[in-house]
Amino acid sequence: MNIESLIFYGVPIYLIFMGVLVVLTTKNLFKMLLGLSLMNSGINVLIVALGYVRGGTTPIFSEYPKIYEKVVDPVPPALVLTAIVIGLAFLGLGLSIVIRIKEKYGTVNVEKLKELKW
Amino acid sequence: MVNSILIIAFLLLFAFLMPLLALLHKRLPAVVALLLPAFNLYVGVTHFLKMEFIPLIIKTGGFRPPFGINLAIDHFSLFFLILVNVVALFIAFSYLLEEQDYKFHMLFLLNLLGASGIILTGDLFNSFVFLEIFAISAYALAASKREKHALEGAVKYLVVGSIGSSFYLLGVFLLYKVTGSLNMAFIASSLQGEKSGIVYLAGMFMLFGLFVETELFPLNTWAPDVYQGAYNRIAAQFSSIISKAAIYLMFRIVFFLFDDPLFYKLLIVMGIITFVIAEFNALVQKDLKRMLGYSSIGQMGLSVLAFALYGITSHPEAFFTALLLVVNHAISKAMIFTNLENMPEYVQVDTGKANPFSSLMFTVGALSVMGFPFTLGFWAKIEVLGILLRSNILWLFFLILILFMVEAFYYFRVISNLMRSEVVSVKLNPLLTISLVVFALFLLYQGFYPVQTFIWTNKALNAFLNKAIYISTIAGGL
Repeated sequence: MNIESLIFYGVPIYLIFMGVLVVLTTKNLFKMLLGLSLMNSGINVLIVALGYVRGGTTPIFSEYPKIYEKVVDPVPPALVLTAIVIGLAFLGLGLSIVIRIKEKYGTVNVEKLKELKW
Repeated sequence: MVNSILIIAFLLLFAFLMPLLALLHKRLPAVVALLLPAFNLYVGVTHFLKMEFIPLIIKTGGFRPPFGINLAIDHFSLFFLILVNVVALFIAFSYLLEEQDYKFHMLFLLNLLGASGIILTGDLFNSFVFLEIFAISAYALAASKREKHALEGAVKYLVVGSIGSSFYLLGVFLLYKVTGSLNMAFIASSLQGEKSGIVYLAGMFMLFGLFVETELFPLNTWAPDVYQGAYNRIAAQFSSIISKAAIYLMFRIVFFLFDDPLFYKLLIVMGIITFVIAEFNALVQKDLKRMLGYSSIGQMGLSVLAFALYGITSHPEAFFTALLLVVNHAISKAMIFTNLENMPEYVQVDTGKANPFSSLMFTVGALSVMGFPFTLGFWAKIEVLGILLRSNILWLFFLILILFMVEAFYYFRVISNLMRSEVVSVKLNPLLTISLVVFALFLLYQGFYPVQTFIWTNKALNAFLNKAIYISTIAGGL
């Protein structure tokens, strides 16, 4: 376990756990959405990190002589690009729903949204 | 045959053309939202009748399957495509005359796009993208009523759904890391035989993500709130389109990719827990829509349970039963929820006013959900009990029998109250009346003489069981 892989895998896993922790502990809906966004970012970083090849270069055809033998896997960044856009759409929709909740209930505290229980 | 990629292309095109169409004429979005499911249904049925036994591969972007995204269509996916679009056509037709904002039709088409995409695609990452399109439009639809209850249900669904989809993505990527491909057939062919621990982890993540939309136990707390808060047509959409497309993906993933006893056992346990909790909760509800929501959750649990019985009994009839339950639940719940439109004064379970026609329609739908003889539901439920008896799992047999009785009890309570309730005259929507009568006749006719449903289900089942053909057709080209 060298320092590089610690950063590559530690940081995204830390982000995911922080996101889940925020979602589970906070009572503010706005912060809850930020926690979900944090978790999404963590998963995106993890995917890019898993696709990284040590010492690899960008997977683009070029006319320069081949200094590098290896290239990184091009699929994960492409997937992550899609996932980032989806995350943005999710966050926008979530915030608009939270604004409507604020209008109707006058609060964004989850504990006060208790009209529907069992 | 029409190229079935047009289903996805047209839905996407017209969903985003809606603002322009609304400028041309106020009624145009509603008409387009009716025509597109009809087109999908036409494509689905012609493929289903004319297609050979070998699955059809539709390449996109000129790449062959392992590299490009492909659609893989067999009778099993067409079966679900037809089911989902029949219900969509039913809902769009019933509400054709209602005044609705064009944004509503846009979300409806996007949701249908997600459902059809999930069903047609042969690529795992593609299925994630469609799952997200489908989930995000579903959050918006759940919140579309803009009242307290709808918003509260929607925000719960949003939080749970987002966690679920993140885990699905992580699972898909772990599988990509292990097998080097995102194509379902390739992954399936490389996962045969011994599996490493990371494959199990990936499978757990993916199933965990799908538990949200299939309304299974740990992640279904949003479902009753959404059913109670949303419009009736949205509730019908949740129980008949959204959960059905998700259950298709779950069947496909569990049987095609993993096919491992561990996953079947997990699904059996979760199915039983979901079914028990949902049925007993439905028993104590005061609000009619919330009770129906719990009943929907219970039916989903039962369908997953019936499917997973294959893992411990190795009877292919388990899949057959699961498909019958899915069809029965989709059609009868679409009927019950849209019929609530005709009984606005019947909100509580035990008191209210209703008119005789809507009471009758509710009764037909409810009888089919609980599996009363001479309805389609009877054949599905008797088959579940039959499998359990034949494979000698008596404790589960009696448990499920008791739960069927609980279900019958709370439905009969509503039916008897409807019979005794005060008669009130409601202005019936003519189109809704026509479609309700058509569905009711279908359920009753198939209850007396279910041959047609059995033939179609068997055709779908044959395609599903012969997964070796699916895999070799797509993965064999390389």
